[in-house]
Amino acid sequence: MAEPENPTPVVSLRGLRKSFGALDVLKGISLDAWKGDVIAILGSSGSGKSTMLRCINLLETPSAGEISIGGETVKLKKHGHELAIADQRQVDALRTKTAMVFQSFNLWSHMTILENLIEAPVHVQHRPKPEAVAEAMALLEKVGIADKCDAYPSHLSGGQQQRAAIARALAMHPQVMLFDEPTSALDPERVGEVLKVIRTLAGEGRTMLVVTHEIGFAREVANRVVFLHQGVIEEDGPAETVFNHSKSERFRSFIANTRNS
Amino acid sequence: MELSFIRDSFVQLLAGAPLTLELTAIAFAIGVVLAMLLALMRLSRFAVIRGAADAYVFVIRGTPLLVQIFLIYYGLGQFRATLQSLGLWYFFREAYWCGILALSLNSAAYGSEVVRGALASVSLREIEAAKSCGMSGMLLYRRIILPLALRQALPAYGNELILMVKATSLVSIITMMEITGIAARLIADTYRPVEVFIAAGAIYLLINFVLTRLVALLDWWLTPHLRAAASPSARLESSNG
Repeated sequence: MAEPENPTPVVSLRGLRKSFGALDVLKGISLDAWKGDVIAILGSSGSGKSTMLRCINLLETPSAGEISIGGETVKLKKHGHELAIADQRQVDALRTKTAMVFQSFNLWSHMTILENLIEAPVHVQHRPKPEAVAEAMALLEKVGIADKCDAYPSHLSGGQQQRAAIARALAMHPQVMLFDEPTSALDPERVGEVLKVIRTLAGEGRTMLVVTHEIGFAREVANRVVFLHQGVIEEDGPAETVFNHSKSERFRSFIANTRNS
Repeated sequence: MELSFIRDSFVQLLAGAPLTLELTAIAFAIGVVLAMLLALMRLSRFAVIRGAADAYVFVIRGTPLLVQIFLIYYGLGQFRATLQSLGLWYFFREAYWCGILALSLNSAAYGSEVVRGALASVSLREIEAAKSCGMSGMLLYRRIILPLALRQALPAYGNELILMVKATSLVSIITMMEITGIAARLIADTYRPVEVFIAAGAIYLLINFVLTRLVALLDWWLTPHLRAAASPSARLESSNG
């Protein structure tokens, strides 16, 4: 866990619950992510890890609990037995601080890669276009696809699309990057190029939450591991400690099973 | 059948082409706006709004355009006093405006089906990505949903445009002197329907030929992402997954 210089966590979850109908997916999650944390979120499918990540970006509205981004608490209001967004403008602003990278890239198909990158900076954050373009080109250079700036997403390989999606997220200057299984939809030989980019970002001290099945990658890049089991946090600690000395029987069998598969 | 008479008719009927095009353009433009409105109404979460739009589409699609034109032009004429007191008589006494109204209302009903389908086809993933970047409401519609829906709707909406060109021939029945109106007068003068209608049909064919090309061109221009990549090397790479 990174030592907090600033006592405000970048992301703070308190008693987060989420149900879909009768199905309780998250059953009270509390988590603080500090600046510079690279948190690998592990868990078998159905453990609620993606749902938790999506709650941070408000793509899912929690059923109960509290979410704060950079110290700002998301305003939620009662809506029957559930909660609903109370202030869409606040949520829109907070979403640009918690950039999301999706499993299936979700680039806008009618825009070129460069247009994808400058869309939110220009139209949501109202930054000057020349500045956004210059920065977008630098980001594309960084993820190694500057030559594809005028191509459309459908003309790129999966790995290139995911790198573009990462650059699109970076272009918003987020406080935290949320990765939702960023390599699960890729061909095996394309996984490496995307992990390499994420590794670089981790090295820059960016705050990142990564839902992943790549145990080896989590072990190598994450400084902290959160293991979810049936909607509760079963393990949370420094990667080194959790991987080598976990007291959780479930976590150890999860690791063993994943390695064998 | 006389070729020179067909040619003469063709030239005379051309005088009606501007009005045909004008009716098409105005009614189509109003129709598109109404179609979008109807499509949004049909996606509303309020049952009353959905129901009203559904009922409108059901009635308009279920009755002939010709009947609708008659009802608006002759039918509303019976309520002249009421319309006068409402200040609407200036509008409804003109065959021109009644024709445009009937054509746009009709086109809107069919168009709303196309628009609704196009809106439903927009990938939820792309919408989610936009939301995750802080877009909502009008911005989300303007930048992501409508541009994607437009590309989806265009081929089908091109059909709607062609149907509109042909539908304008029906307003000849309420005294509009567009291509078919002039044709009817010419036939009454000459008793030679075959040649006149061949000439009229040829003009419609010509107009629609140009319009289909224009729609195809617009479609091509809007969808570079659906074509193969520009360079062979890029194509090769994308085929490698």
